[in-house]
Amino acid sequence: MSGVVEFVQVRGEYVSFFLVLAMLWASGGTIARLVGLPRRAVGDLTFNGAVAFVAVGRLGYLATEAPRSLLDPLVVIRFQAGIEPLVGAAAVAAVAAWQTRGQDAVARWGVAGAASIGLAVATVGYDVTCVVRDACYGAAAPAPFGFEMSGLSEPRIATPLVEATLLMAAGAVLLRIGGRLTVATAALLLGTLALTRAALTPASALGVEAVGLETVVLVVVGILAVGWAIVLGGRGTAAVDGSAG
Amino acid sequence: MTAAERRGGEIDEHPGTDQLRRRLSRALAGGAGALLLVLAVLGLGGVSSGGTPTAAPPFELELLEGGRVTNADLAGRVAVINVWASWCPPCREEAPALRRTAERFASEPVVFLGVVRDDSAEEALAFAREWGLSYAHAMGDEAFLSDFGARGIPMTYVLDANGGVLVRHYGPISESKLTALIEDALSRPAGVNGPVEDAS
Repeated sequence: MSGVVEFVQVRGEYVSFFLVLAMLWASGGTIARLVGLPRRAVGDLTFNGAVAFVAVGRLGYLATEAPRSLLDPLVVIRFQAGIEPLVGAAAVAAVAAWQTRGQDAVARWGVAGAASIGLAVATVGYDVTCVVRDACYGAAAPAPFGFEMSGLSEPRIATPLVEATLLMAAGAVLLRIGGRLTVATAALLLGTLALTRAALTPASALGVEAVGLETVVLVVVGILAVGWAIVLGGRGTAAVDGSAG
Repeated sequence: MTAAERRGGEIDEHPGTDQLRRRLSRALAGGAGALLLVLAVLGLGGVSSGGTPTAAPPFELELLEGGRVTNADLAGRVAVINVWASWCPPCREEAPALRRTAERFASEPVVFLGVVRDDSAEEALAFAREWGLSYAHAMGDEAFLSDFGARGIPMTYVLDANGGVLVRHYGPISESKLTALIEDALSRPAGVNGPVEDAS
């Protein structure tokens, strides 16, 4: 009984999840206009993708980290116990592929772009809502890079906020590069950045120092992605992303 | 999806796309700038959590192998409280360091207590046996986790002999760091509290 009572208490992880969903829902219209898809198609992708990400990512995490927990439904549906982001992202890709089955390349690129932007929005949302999860801790570092956080003895870098800043800045640059770079290409580059962030999440579990490494890797990948985007923008991208340029 | 809708996917031919991209780019840059400003203010302003030891919140927890543990059971000794779960990879990473440090201070007035969160007693006991964490482990309840501010795991607390929380460490802790923290806590005379520098 106490397990049930404990479960129904509002947790930061659930609040964070619903805030991310709200951000995805709110940005759905803009994403649809950006990639040239009907709003409903993006809405379907958002709903199905979010469900697939959480369900498959959660099962993937439990299968690798605590397989015996798969037998306990209460443990399975507890968000705070971990989601494997790469497995979740693969599930989103599968949903996108299923949603565009039998359609042409233009439609597939549009959905791929929407999924990539959605992934980036969700990543930024998840990072920013570290505040409600009380999970903004990163590597230990002196001021001004680190600052004291409630409940901890040493100043820490707010790594999730730094990474959200980097992703937003990268998104601004990728969108700004100009008309020569198609939205689909820019979206895929942004999605790659977000995926890099997600892929590095397990690395942060290797130790507090690895959280700093995660940020460094994200910065390097971000610079490479933006550099690549600039090169692609200069050459034109019709041959690269399959959409007519 | 209709053919007309699909043609809309050819982004560079969409009349309003360039304007939308510019607007979004500005919005994202503004958001990034705002976050950067928040980080700068927090870093330069030095939001403080205090720094002096505070009395450990009162607790009473059920031990995994039967019985209960309270603050009184830790009194007069330096206490290391480690919050963990069997499904948590960083907890696995720090387990050998905890085992070796507990063995090293076995003859000193130091007590280790594991507090399990979001886990079953069976899984937790199996984990403790597997990693040789032979000290007592209790099942953490919401009150304990909330009072100690243990929202992430692993968390390690070092309490002085007076029951004051000297250190709150988030993330896997190393043997050298934990040893240094315990030795520092042991060097403090009973009845005298003072902040501990958590050298990382």
